[in-house]
Amino acid sequence: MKEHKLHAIQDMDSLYAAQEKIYAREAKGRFQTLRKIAAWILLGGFYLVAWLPWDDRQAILFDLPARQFHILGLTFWPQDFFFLAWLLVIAALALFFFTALAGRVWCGYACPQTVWTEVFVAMERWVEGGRRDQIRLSKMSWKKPERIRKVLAKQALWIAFALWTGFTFVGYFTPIRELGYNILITLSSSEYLLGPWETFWVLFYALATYGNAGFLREQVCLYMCPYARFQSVMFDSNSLIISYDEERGEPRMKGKERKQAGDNAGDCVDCNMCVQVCPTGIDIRDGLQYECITCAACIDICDDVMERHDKPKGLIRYTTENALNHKPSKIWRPRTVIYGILLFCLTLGLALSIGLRSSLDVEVLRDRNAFFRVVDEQHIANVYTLKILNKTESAQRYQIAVSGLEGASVEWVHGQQVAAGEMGTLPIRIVAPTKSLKGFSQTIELRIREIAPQSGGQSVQRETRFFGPEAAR
Amino acid sequence: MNQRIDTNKLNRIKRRILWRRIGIVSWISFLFAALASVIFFAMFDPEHLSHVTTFPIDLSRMQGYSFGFLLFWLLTASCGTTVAWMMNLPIAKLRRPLPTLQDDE
Repeated sequence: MKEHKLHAIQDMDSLYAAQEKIYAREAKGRFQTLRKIAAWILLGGFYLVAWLPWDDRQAILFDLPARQFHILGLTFWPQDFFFLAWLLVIAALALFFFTALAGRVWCGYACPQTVWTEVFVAMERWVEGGRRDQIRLSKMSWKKPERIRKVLAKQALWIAFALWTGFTFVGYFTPIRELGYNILITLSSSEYLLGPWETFWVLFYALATYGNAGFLREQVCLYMCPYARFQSVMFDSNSLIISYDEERGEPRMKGKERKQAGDNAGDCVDCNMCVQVCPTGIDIRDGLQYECITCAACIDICDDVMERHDKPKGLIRYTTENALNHKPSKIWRPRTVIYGILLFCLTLGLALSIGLRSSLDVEVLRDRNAFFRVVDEQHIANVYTLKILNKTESAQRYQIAVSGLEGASVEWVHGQQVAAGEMGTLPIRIVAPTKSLKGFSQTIELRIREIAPQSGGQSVQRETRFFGPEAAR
Repeated sequence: MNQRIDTNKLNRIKRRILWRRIGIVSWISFLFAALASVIFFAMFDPEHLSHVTTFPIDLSRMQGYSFGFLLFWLLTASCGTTVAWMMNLPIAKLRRPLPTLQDDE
């Protein structure tokens, strides 16, 4: 039994091979430039937008304690959760759409994991030098001051950057200026102004950044990312992939062998550069693999090599399965058309419904205890409870106009005000002359309006029933 | 088969398997705990909840969110751990040959 166990485990051995650190060579070229630009825009946005003011508050603030999300001029309440769900559906659909169309562009250019890893790798290169220097350093004894100095410098940079990232992240949930001020005071004096949860989340996010971008890197993509595992189902033979042109490249040869083979040699000079630059440590010449995050480093480096050998570029290139098989590639096919249309409609719908979103919401509930009350000989009253949700940022007063019943008037029982962001329960009484009743009950319309000038004076209309005595007929 | 068991290697592999499982369970349960917290707290206000609980607890909203998230994480992580544990059938069991149709008759 022990032997069986050993064999089963040895089968797994290849799956669980020791994770050697990957020392990726730096590639330069048009796609790497593009990725750098994307990283600057995305990270620049992340670190700067938190500081943007809007009127007298932060432009983007997910104020959890107050249960309000501020995004530029808009404020969202928990009641608007629907929009968030809608947004997530759009995000998922966009991922499907772009994967079907352009493969794993998300992974290569926009995923936070990739972008932050890129920054951490750049710092590592800046301190320790290129691939060769890094390998040399990793083999150096810990007694050598050079190794200690460089490792300390790298760690200091990484930790500082990770802490700043954690601070910025928390700055989207609690006002960042205040948070920064509190941290400064805390650091410079013995007074501890930070909340325990703020401290926890700053450190937590910093640790996650440090661990994921500094150490785990490609392992996050290989073992932790759900998208990497299921993206293949969104692919078809028209999706953009990075591929090695086997027809052109093979048989790969280098050096002496190449000279002897003459014209029989393929274009691949077997320099292994594409393997050395790969951040996930694969050989793209083995075909498309799920590890490939389409960072295009192999394209850039191979184009470079091809240029030096006076051969046409594009031995490794962005292409499609169809193109490799000499068939035409189609951009618009049922899959992309359907995703595209759905995406367009949902996005438009979201924009419209946010734009047309009312700042109040009202529910009218009839009093269940009595149909009506007799006020005096000429008048009867109906009691209703209004549930008014005030979605504005200030307390609101409301007025009601009744239509459909002649001579009806409205009395507020306990005031007509609702605090900012609250759901107010306001009872009202509608009194009408008995003689204007047309039957036992009739439909009336209530128009509930915010009283200007505190607001835009938005209003909503609701229908309800008004009851009277049978004899009134 | 007379193969010597390299205990060191075996232990190294076992450890690696264990750590990878810990990593996967904690990460995936983190994701789903976050999702659950978002949905739950969009509907319920922790400040309100702390007033109606059986046991009197006095939590601010921020504490409520964090506490709730950690509870959700504990829940999803326990679920993930149990699943990972149960998926790990004893290997000897897997190695036993499957019964053939004739055996059933």
